[in-house]
Amino acid sequence: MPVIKTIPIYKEVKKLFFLLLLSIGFSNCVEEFEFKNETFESILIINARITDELKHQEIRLSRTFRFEEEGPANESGAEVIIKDNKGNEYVFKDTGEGIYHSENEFMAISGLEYQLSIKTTDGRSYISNTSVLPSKSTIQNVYAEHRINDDGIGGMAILVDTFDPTGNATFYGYEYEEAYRIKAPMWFHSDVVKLEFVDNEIVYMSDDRPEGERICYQENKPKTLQIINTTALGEDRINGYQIRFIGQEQIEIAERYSILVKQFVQSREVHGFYQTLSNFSESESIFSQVQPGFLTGNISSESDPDELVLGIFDISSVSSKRIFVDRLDIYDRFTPKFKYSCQEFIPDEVFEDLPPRLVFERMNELVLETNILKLYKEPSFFDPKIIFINRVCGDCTTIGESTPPDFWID
Amino acid sequence: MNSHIIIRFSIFFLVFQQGILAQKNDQPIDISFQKNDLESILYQIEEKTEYKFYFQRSWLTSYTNLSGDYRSATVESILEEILADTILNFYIKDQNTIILVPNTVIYDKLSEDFFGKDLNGNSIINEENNNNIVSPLFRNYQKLPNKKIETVRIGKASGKKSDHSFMLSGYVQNIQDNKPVANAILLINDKDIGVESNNTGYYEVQLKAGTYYIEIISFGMERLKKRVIIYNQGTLDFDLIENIQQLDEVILNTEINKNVEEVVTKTKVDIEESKNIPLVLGERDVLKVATAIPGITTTGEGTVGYNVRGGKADQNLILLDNAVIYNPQHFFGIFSALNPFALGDLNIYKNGIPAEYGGRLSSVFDLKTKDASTDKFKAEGSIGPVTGNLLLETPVIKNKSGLMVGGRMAYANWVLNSLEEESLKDSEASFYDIIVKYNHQINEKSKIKATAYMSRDDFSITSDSLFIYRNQSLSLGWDYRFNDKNNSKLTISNSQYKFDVEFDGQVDDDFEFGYSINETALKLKLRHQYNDHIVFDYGISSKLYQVDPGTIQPINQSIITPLAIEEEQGLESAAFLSGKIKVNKKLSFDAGIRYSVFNALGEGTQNIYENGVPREESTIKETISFDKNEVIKTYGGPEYRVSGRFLLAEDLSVKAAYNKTFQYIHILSNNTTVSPIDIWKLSDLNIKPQSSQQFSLGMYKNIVGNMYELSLEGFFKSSKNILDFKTGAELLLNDNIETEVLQGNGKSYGAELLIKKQKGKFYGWLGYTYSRSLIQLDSPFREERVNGGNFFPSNFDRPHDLSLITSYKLTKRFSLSTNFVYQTGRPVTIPIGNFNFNGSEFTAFSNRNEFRIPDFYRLDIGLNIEGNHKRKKFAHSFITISVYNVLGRNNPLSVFFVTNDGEVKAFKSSVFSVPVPSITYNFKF
Repeated sequence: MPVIKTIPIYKEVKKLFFLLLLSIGFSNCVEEFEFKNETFESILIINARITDELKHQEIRLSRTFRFEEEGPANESGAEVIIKDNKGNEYVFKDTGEGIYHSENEFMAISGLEYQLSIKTTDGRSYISNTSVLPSKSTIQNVYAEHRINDDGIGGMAILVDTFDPTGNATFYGYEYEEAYRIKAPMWFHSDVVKLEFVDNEIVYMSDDRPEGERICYQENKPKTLQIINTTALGEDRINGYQIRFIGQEQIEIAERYSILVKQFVQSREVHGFYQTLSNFSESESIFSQVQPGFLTGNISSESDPDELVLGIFDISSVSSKRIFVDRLDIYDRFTPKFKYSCQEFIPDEVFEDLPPRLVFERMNELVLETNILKLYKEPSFFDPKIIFINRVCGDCTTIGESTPPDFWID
Repeated sequence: MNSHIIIRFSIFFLVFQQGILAQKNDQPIDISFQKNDLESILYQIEEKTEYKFYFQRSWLTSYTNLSGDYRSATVESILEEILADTILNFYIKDQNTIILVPNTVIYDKLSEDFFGKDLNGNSIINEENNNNIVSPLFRNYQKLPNKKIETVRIGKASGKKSDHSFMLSGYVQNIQDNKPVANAILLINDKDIGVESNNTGYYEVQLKAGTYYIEIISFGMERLKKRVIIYNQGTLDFDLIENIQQLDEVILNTEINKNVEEVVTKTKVDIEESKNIPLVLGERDVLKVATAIPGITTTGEGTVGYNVRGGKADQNLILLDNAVIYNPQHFFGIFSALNPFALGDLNIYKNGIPAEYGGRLSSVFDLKTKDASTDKFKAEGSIGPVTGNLLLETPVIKNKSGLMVGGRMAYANWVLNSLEEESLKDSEASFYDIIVKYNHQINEKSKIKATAYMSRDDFSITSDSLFIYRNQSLSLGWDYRFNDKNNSKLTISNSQYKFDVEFDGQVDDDFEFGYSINETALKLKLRHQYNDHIVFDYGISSKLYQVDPGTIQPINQSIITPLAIEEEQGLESAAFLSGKIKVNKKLSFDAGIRYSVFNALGEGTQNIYENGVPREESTIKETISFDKNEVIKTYGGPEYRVSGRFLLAEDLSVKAAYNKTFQYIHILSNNTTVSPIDIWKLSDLNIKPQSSQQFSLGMYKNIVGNMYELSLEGFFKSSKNILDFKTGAELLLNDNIETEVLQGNGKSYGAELLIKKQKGKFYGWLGYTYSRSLIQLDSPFREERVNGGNFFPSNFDRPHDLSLITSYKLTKRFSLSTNFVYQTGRPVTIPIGNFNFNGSEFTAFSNRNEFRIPDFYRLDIGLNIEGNHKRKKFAHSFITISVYNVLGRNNPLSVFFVTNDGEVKAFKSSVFSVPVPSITYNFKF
């Protein structure tokens, strides 16, 4: 969970102090020790964000897992219900992997109070504080701009402007979903479909191949929530807040790029929770510089008030905006862009010394069995060589989908 | 300064040159005087007799207006009467010498119960001992030097055998002055019979005919042995030669029951004794000895600061000659930053804090340097494996003023270089401290003292960082006595604490980070002796703080943005009044009130936060600017300090105390230890002063003739506005630090047991404390609540704390000492699992301070070898060989967790996980 307010100096100072800390233990006295089962506690983790979008709302339940284990540990079979103060109940169904979806589509409505209750299979029950939908604030603008980042790299920054004239929104969270078009740079209209070994010679048989392997689309939906607030500002306005930065030589911006920015208006309480959570992740190396302790959300155990529960019931209003950016909208043709490492593969040269029989076997393996090579140039009268290329350069489906997403506009 | 200092009256090198028994010039004299002062009366006596008086003029000045009329009275009786109402005693040494001494009695012979019973300083006039009780103390059963024994024949042998006893008689006299020697013991045939000479030196004894060995023993005289063959009655005189033997400092402790009797219990750390306690790398550390006292702990080895009765490390007022020392330790707390040779006195108040002190909640460590010698040049030094130390004292104006200069320096670099840890091989560490003191007795009424102190630590732990911290203090004190009922003490002091971090790495992010705090204080304390039972102390003090909380400056074309946090200013003032009231012999009170006021001063800006919501950057309502020296906020209140003592018996008392304290300055550290980089923050609009109330009750008992001191004390302390931090708080260089801190209630309670053996070859003490220290951080808001708003163990909660310090004198030159410490491990917050949230992995931590690091224990052993005791030797020296952490226990100092590539790794750090031997050479001349 990247965080907005980052003064780079913090980290340096922290690093230094960490070294100082280490140095106290001179004469080899800082030692790693086994730290495993003794203190592990299985704690229910609840991530429930309900929005004012009419949809099957989603809640995630998981548990803490041991350090030596791979996460996540999903919590299944729980009864999850959201009630409002009008007596409506929204029941959630376990759809696997710790994800619960509401049986019916619904949306959070302004003015109603909502409360989440959960009953796990071990019979324990949990309840959230009541929450209301914060006021809504519409994204004013999402736009792309060339910028130089802190590391001195040039690239495309996706920026957002927002303004709430009522001044009530204040606490913002941002998520984005991105998609981009990929073009296989060395796509060839036909490909080898069969190899034969006839009269001590290799015979390549080719056929036309689908256009779909030339142009592809890649989608990326990070779950990261970025937070920012306007409290320190005179008005409830965000100008040019950077949601995303893509280096100019990255594949995302090699052709055409689209981003959907989702802006959540959160309650102060929820915002504070995310803020603290981000403090923990910010200090990557030393926890000791951040005051550690158990992070409590707004959900508590009904069965045992002392039980630790880590969860947040977040009701947010959403506003979203999608933009498309062509590379040429920002960069000219001469700006260095994403480079595939494509190398021509000429069997006659690579397997120069091998007997043809073996060359055939190798090529059969590389082209048909493992599909590592794609045809790039058929032999012709002027150039009798057959040339292959590594697959990614000739076939974009290795890194994307050939069908564009529903929202895609070229 | 205060009347509770244990005073050890010493008679140094009392030379009994003229024979032990004073021969008095008993001529009666006539004398009369009217409203004369004591001094002139003594001169009158001198004129009329052959006596000469020996005294220090300052002892006499307070006795004026004496009248008397004596007719043919002996000098002795006159003096008895004149001096009866003074603190002076006299001793008639010989026919022309009378020595006056304050408080002390000069005994020409130690009483039988000298080491057994209370000598509480009542004026006991030396009397001629006419009875025949023989004081066993000075029987000197040394082997006689192998001298030829003279044989004497007595009487004329009669012809007939008879069982008849014959009388042998004679005089014992001093051969030098022909004076009779009284109370000389004649031992006949090795203790078969003993007789004693009387006042005139005459003795007589009945002996049958035969051969006897008669030995004469008299204090101050050479022994004499003769073979006597008795034939008939006769006389035999003995001529004794003075035994020139210096008495090597007899210490009369006039306040043996002090611990039972004193009203305000204070803990005195014996600076001299601290040399016998084995310490790390042979460094004497008075403050570390303090941690062996019940109720005083540190967070761990190698941590800075002391926790007194569950209080935070910033709650102790550490004073060096009345100037505050912010960080009295070198090298992360491993060494004391105070030169042990320069210190004269350390008193710790943790039970009842006198009203003259304030500004810290838990305790006062009152360190006083000794006065520089005004009569001769002195030097003291030590050479240890890590540091060298030298202290010089020299008179400036003989018997009036003296100068002391002390310096200590570490050559610790080799320690670091010899480490196995590769990353630390290139490190550097050095420190030094300097102390200079000048004391000047201007006249009998007025005395000034000036002390300057500085300590500095430099570290370069990694090749690209340099870390410096520094203490500085200056104090000037003027003691003035108006008359015998009123005196005053004026102190001006300035203290400064600074640290600097320079980071010079490979990339363009080099910076310099600096912090400093400076305080200037003025204090006037007056004392008025209202009558014999009531003494008032009163005065005022004021202190100006200036804090520069931090600046970051880019260096070497760094791209770091300069950042400066606003400076802070504050004025802490107080008026105090306290009275020592002796209700009757058994009941005494020390009651005081201190009214303190703190003004947070501009220039600066302060945030005002919305009400009813947690304090965070998002709830800032407005920011107000204040002009220079404009009052931002005023805090203050009365602080009551009451102590009472009731004597149940001569050696048994009950004491109770109530204390209220305020503290306007706070350390910000989310580490559990105070490290030198922790910054001090003044109270302001948003950070309230801390306050605390303590009740304590204790029993004090001395047993086996004061051989053992026992005390059992219980306390309950409740504090308000104790600073702690929000979960997830980041503190360094935060402009709005109040958004990261919480102020909650503290509660601590406990019982402290101390058993001390003070005398004999084997001495030492055992201290055990059971105590809890809890804190509560509650709020209507989740972010400001810790552990559900319940009380939880503070960082210093160490329920069991046991210290055993012993010292055993093997021979005159060898003594062996040990130091054993056991403490419950301190609380920590540790990771209890990982979890996924919004696609990222996080570590979940336990409730605050829910777990504990393993218990701490350590045993140190030290051997002191004194140089030989020849008197005329140029220098006295001793060697200390010590082994720190003999058991090689790996005591974790802290446990911390590092996430690396999504993996949580646990580390524990400890300072000395192996036995650390050391040898130190100390000398003194």
